[in-house]
Amino acid sequence: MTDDHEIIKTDVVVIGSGGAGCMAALSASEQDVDVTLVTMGTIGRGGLTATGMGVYLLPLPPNNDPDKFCKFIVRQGRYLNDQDLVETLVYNSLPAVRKLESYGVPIDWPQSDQDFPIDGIPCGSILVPGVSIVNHLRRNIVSRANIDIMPDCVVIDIMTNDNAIVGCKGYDMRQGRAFAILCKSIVLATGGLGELWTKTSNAPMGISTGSYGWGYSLALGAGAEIIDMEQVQFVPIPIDPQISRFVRYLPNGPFTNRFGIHFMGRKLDAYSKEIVLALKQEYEEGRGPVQISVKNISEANFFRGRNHPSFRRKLNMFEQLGVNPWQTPVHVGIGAHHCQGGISIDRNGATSVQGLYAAGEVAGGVMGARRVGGMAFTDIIVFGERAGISAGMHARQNKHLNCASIDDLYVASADSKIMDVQPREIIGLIHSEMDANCSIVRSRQELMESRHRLNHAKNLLPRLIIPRQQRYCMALCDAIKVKAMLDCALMVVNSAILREESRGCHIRRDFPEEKPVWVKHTRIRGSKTGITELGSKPVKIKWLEPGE
Amino acid sequence: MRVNESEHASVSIKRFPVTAGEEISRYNIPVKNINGIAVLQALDYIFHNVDPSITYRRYCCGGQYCNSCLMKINGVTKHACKTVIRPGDTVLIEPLAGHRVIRDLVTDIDDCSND
Repeated sequence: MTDDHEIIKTDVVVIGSGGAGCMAALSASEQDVDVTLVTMGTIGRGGLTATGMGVYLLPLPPNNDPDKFCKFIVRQGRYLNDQDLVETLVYNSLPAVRKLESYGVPIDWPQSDQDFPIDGIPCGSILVPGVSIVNHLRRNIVSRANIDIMPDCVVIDIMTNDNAIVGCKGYDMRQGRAFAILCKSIVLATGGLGELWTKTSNAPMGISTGSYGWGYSLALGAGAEIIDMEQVQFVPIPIDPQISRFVRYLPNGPFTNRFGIHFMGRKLDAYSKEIVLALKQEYEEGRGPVQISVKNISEANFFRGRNHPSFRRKLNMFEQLGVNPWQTPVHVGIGAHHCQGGISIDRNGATSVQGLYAAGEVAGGVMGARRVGGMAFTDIIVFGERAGISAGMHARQNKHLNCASIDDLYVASADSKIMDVQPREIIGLIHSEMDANCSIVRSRQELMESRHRLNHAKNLLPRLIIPRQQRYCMALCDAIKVKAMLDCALMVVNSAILREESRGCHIRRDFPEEKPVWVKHTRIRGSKTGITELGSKPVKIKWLEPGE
Repeated sequence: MRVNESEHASVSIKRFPVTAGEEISRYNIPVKNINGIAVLQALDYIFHNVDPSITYRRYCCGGQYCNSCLMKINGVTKHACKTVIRPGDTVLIEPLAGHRVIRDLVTDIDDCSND
């Protein structure tokens, strides 16, 4: 890339600055170590945390029994959750909120049992809008002398030596130059991969949040174990691009097809596969577009107990855009939402690589085969904090390791003779393969065909057109993004081929049943060149046997 | 402001540093949807289809929360994720005022960043 190259030394690197990354950076810094927070934009801007409405599920004493809630999560996750992680999540959800409060984040506690009721889920909930989390955590981060912030930086590679962290390297867009950071531990908090599909809640109003699977690809290259990548949740999303993803929260309005027929009789959870499959059928059989009409649900009723400025602001936005769903029915399609799989972690966020930690959506094993709606915030705060503490402690107890080779420190310059492929050509190919063959219902034949074409697309990577380096070069970032997206697409497709059953979010046309033998994780390991091992590993079962 | 009733909009972008001898680059982009497209989507269209040299912060929450996309649009500070360009519109886009410009529409938006 360039000879102008910066080498930095620190203790802990946190990659990503959403809720999990900010929590990790703050918690690590409290271990009295130097922390560098690397973020693709600026802290908490972009990314999905800021878009979150703020429902945070947790068992609230004295009414809720944490054990009952743990079991509920595992049943929803179709027994694919590592039960020690579920236990850690649930039992730490309240202390983690207290920690958020200690950082000055305002929390809306329920005033009575009637507040924020969540149908059918044996727990309570608080409200803490995502934007409020990132804004307050950002203030804390900038005031800490031992946290260094690297905004507008993209990490390209994690360096290891003998399965332990040496550092990472990447491209600093502001300075227009490469950098390398030598460190003792790294926390990956880079979020999900919804943007592998064209329709996704991760790109509200058609605008990217950068959820293209950056962290999964970095972990693959570092040799970390990655599990259950086939478990990607699809949910009803508004397809009119002028309407924000907020409308996703109106699932209880009746769905009607082109002929005005209500095709779903009973009230279902918005995240249930019955809703998604029914929607798919309406479209496939030519009865689209499907609409949600909330005309008959009074606004006051919908907002009962939710009279929060954050909800109000979204409503104002609709009114300004002239798309108030109480006046105009909303066109609904299906979009990718949340990846339950990811980097395999233990209770402390530690991965299979020494010194590498992961938290939030990029980590796997917590949500099993299906996430309970409202648990993502609980996940990022609880595991963000734990991964940060562990990474800080690891850095305090260990020394910097040497690189296997001095060349590891440098970002290789593009030496290809032919540069004739635009990044968006490959992104287009990934989108068409994932949309057609790896979305809601999958089959071996289609997945195999996609795998073949995606593998073939990898050969095009050296031919990507990378313009002459300059400050804030978006095309260079696109070239980096394309590699990450291809890695992720291949992880999802390969895992989906492997899991020959239907479980949770993974539905196979050729294997429609859930099979007891498949209460195990699909498991991937890789190297800088891509996936090297594909197999399975047991689920950690502690207190709830499958089927119980 | 409407220039004509068409399926296009005229988008001008203030450049920094001056690019190809121009302080302002002008683009005519298709806007077929009567409801229009967001300014950020228009910028994406130009970047991908017309001029890959334009620079803006493209990752955004899409809901006017994160402020990543604040820009001056026709002289007024607005969210590019939400501000709509309709067919026939003429729009001038400049970087957010009061912040150091890094390139084109990208500014050092984080006042409290340690940069």
